[in-house]
Amino acid sequence: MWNPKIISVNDDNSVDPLNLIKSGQIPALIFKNFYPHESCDKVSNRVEEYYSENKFGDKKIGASLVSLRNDKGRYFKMADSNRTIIRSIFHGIQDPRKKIHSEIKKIAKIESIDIAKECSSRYACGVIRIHNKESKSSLHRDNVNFEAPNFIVSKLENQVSFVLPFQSSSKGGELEIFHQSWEPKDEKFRRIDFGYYDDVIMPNTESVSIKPTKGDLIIINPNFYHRIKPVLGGRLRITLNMFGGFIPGKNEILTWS
Amino acid sequence: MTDIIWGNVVKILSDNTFELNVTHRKDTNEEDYPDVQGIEIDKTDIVTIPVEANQRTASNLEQSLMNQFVKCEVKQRKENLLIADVSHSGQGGY
Repeated sequence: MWNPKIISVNDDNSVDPLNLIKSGQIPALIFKNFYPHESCDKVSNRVEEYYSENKFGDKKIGASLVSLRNDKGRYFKMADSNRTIIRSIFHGIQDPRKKIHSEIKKIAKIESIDIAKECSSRYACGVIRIHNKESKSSLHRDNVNFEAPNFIVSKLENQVSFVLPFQSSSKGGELEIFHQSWEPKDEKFRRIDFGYYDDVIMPNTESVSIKPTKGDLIIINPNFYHRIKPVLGGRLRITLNMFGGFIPGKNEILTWS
Repeated sequence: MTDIIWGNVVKILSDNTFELNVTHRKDTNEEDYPDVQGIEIDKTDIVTIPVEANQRTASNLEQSLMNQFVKCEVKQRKENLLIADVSHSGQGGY
């Protein structure tokens, strides 16, 4: 059975848990109670307030690299302009991005984790994604090596994805991960707008559905196909999403979004 | 109406041409297109490719286009090539 592994910050991990993700032995690592529930509630309230005031179309706060892969200048400009907004959302509470950096460094025994830089520009660090009723994320995979070759982060190896739910939807909104990783030959199944047609998944491929739980950090290998099932009910699904990748030949991670 | 094809760039042929592995075709296209098609770039909004055709190089195209999923809006045929406006299309993920 291909099941997520649940770990806690205090576990004595003789095996690097990130290796289990990188190799695809498990679909996900779940750090229970990674971020305090009270802080999750505070963040969710601030995000909901921001969302109701701004009603932004793409339902995210922060810059996402692949959506701006064709315009590097604009990506870094967006990364800078969104930094202040995201900082204000985490103001007065522990910054979950810093906690992800520090805890992963400890648990996976990583020498260093920093936000990626390119010349003098800093990459965006974290996107807050908001899914309202009936919204979903189509079948896709995240692979910066293939999607954004003009960015320095495309040279990193073993991309991992960090997802921290601040609030889950009343129903639906599960993260479904398929035990099938992307291969170049799959490009014929690519959709023109976003992601891939379901036909890309081979018959009888195993999958798991993870219900995001407030404060539990989920780490996946995003090169495995995944999607977010439609959100049901009135409550927004709010998550922090960021990526990490290993510097080739080193036990060091750089992060971006 | 302009014919449109989509696909992945599989080979750079020259300073301004590439080979496209055609995966999608607009339903209302007037012409048929093979699975592998040579493309000559007319205009492009891909910022890493120079606007002026005579400033483009094969290595620049290699860096900017190789393996990428692109949309080609067909302008005209030129022997075995299509002259097309080329832009990025779709996202395989975030």
